[in-house]
Amino acid sequence: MQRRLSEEDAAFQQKMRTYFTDEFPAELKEKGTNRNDLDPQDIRRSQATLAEAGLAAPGWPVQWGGQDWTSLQKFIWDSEMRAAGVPPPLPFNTSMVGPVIAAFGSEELKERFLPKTLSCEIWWCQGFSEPDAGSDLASLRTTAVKDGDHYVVNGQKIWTTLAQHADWIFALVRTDPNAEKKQRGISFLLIDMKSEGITVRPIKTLDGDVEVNEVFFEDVRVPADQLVGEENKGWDYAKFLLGNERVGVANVGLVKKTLADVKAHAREVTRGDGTLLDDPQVAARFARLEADLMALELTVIRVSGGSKDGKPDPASSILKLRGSELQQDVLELAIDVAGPMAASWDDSVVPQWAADAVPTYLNFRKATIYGGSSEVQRSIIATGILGLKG
Amino acid sequence: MDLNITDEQKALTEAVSGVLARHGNPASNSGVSAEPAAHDPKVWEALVEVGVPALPWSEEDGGVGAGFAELTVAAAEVGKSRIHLPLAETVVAGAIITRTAPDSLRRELIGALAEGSALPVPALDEPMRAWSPTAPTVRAEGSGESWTLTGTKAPVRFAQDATHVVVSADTGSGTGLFLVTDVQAKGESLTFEGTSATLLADGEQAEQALAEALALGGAVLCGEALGAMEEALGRTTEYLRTRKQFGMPLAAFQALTHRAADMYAELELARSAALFAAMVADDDPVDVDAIARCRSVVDRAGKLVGEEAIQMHGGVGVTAEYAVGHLTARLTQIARTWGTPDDRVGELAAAVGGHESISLLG
Repeated sequence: MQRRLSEEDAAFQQKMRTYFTDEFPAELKEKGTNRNDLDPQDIRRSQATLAEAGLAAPGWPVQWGGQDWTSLQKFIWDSEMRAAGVPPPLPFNTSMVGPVIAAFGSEELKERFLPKTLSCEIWWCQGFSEPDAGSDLASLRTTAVKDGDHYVVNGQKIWTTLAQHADWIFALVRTDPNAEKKQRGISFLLIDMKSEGITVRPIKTLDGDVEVNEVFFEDVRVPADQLVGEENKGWDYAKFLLGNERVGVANVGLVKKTLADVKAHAREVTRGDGTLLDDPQVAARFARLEADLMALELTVIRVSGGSKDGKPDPASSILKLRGSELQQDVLELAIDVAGPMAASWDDSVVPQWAADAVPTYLNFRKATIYGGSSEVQRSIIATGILGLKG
Repeated sequence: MDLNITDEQKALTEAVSGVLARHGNPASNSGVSAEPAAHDPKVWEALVEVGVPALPWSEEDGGVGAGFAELTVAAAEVGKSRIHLPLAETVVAGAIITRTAPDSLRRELIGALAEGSALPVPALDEPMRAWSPTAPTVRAEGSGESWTLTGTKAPVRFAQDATHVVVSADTGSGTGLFLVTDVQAKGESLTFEGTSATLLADGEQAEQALAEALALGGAVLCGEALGAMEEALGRTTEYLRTRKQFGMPLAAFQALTHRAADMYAELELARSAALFAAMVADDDPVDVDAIARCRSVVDRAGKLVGEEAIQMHGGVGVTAEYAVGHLTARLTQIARTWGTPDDRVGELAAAVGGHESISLLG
């Protein structure tokens, strides 16, 4: 055990801090602090800038633009990036499909896709969930039938985040409907969103935003060389991907920044002769959340998490479970700090942060649902770690 | 920052668990209640032989200069064992002594603590008085080297076997810390009637020394709670696998396994907090708030794990012959040692305006 950063790690931290605060384009950071300001071009620019600096996907193999960093250094990278308000790289690209292609794709696929995935020249979206395959993902019914050197894809995906901006989709499709176990008949396919037969239909969420979509496939012809790895092994790749996704969504860096912002607002809101932060009950909520966040952050450092040797580390489920809950708790506190102002969603009536409080809270109810719901995470912990099987 | 246990620390845990298994007699083995147990000199002596009480103190003072990381992993074994030992108490008393006593007294006392011939404990609580490290009602009168104490301290854990007590008392101009060597305990109650005492520190110095000492004791308690939680969860999952109802193992019921998963998640967060508390305890000066934050995480985890462990065991969980309830009893007591969970949140809340966010990487 060692508390202090080694000299090397302290120098690393300073290097990251200097880059993110002084060198990264300021106009992208200012926009990044407000969730509605960032347009897709900004996100692409931001990731391209990070990629050029070698900072878009440190977890990838070095050969493909990753870094040979320790898990602590990756943690420092993420913390400094979030603290500086830099828009992070697209998780679909860097945490999800990139590592899968790097681990299981052919050399051809890697050369074709990894550089553009890193720089966000290709914007990916995730085609996993279906109307009848939510937590029971392996029940998915979108089919891919081999026809010469193509697959013909038919079916529907749902909850596809930012599909409206995406260039490509990585999709789980059923290639063997007769497999003994439903998990054995699934393949991992890369599909161009401009293919004929794809329709994207937006789904408006409670906050009024359009973030998720339905994606329909009607006789979509997909070149067979866009299959990742082996046919019918897609479930293994998906589990690998979800293991990585779970670590990413613990998001301690983002939650920390949000909590600090909420605290700054609590200092500005008056109560009696003082501020809202002087109120012992409000202060106690901050104190509890800071303690919870500390424990989560330490756990991220302690269990490097992530998928190892092609298999997810079940400890990543703790990070997903508690990280998502904590994020929601912080956003709920933001509503209470906004107080009466939270009744308005109109930023010409109340400050923008107060207008955003309720819609953001409602939007982030998703956090305990996506990437494997809290209930799914508990099942993974119960069976995978505690060995509790009925 | 590195939160991993070293090979030396692993070897230490094995040595400690071996000693506790050989010499200890947990209450559940003889079916006695979960009431806080009296000191067991035999186990303590065995622990002294492995060097555990000497771990945090400098070699110059007669300790082994290992630090709190080592002490915490040892404390976790004590927590698992269900044996009550004055580990955290001697740390608080010792830390006050190292911060306030003159050189010769400090070396004599820490040396004696390390080799098992002295058992110093703190006497801070008073009947019908809510927890506060300061503003005691026990009165101190005198000046220079000549002081007497009047009033009652209770409960004082391990008072009957203590050789020295470090007492907080009102000097008329603030809180003073005193060393009493003539320990006349009735149970865990100490009544002073003009008892002579040595002044260790008063005013700001006393308050600072006490705050740091309680934080260090708190770090040890985090380690002990961690061990107790591990044991409680281990026993609970084993029970869920083997106990059958409705013709199937309890592990077939998702209502139970998901709650066990929550226990695990809390335990792992508490593990991170306990290990971090140990690191912070080795810093000088000690970040008292950081340890309070760790204790706060452990408080909540201990409540969930302890309560759920009993609940999932059903009736057997509340019996004196069964281990699980004893672990819960200890966890309940740890969370109320030197302040309640609410006290800690209150302290942290009072300090929350002083920083933007918490930085862990020092």
